[in-house]
Amino acid sequence: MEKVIQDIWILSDAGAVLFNRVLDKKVDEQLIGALISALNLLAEELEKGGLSNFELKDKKYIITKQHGISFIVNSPKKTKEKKVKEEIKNIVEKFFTLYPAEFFNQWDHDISIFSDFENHIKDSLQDTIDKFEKAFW
Amino acid sequence: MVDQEIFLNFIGIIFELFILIIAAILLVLILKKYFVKRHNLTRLLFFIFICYFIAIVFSWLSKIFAVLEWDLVQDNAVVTWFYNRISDFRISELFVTFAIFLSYILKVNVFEKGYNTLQKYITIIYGALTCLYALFIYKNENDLLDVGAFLLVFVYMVMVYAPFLRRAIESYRAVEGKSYKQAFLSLAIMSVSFMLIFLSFAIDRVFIFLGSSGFTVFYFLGWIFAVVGIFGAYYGYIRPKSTE
Repeated sequence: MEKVIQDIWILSDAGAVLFNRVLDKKVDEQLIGALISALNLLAEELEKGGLSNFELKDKKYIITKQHGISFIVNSPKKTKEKKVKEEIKNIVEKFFTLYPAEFFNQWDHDISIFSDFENHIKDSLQDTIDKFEKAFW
Repeated sequence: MVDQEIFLNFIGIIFELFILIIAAILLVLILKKYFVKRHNLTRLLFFIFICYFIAIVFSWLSKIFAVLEWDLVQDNAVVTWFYNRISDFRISELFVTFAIFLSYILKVNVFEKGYNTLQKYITIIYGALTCLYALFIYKNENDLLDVGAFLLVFVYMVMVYAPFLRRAIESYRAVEGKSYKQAFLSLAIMSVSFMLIFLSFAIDRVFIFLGSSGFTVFYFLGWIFAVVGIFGAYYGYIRPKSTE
């Protein structure tokens, strides 16, 4: 089953990529870098907690910014926006539960600390379907 | 009156034999699935339906006892003890309670990220009390106590299958793809049907308490819900094929 949210980038206020999950590894990384920089500029325009989105080829991108951290995700165009927004909300909540805003005051800029985040963002529906597929389907 | 009771029980034997055959087919299919998947949850599902199957067998035996007019009351205390509890569905209720508890474990494993401690203890304690009631809070030909037993199992069903239903519906709404939607919808139908089985039986018992000779429409309705539940389980667990 296709994931609701496919690729994820989480950027610091300075534009450093704290965490990323890219499902389609064939996409040119330079292109992604340029895209993310542009998206981050767009994110800077967002008010706290605001959402912005646009479509590019067969993907829909959604950007939100909270506590100076930008969250950029994409999903297939056909996926319902409500579902994507629910998932991005979960991701943001989980991120700030694990790394509260105060955490960044003492952060030593070591991004390896965020590598474990992948294990926390497996969406619950996908998790359930994975279990059903392994055990029954 | 006695002839009518034997006739009704004979109909019960035929009707429940039909349910037994359907349940046995589902059991075989689950076992086949287990041999393919070799997964703990598949094995757990098999144990759940083994318990349901045994419960149906004992219910069916109670009709056999009634039709053959076996009377074991005087002979042997242990045999009489079991005979009475089989006749009044207490052994069936015991196995259904086991199945519900195993269903709770399955529900947590497929839909949740872990056990809620309070919920876990409530489920264990309530299940244990239901088992004790089924076996020991018993008086021969006391229909009110039997109504209580059916209601206890019904409440336990609701405690486990209502959250299961909610999660199945949530997944049905959120998931994309026809086969996934159909699977979660089938599991939702299964949950509703399982809950309604014991509600129907409890109502049937209330009618018996009020003087009916039993086998009311609610008895048949209960078993029809069982068939619907079995088909729901088939379309929810067995039929869907992974695209992986």
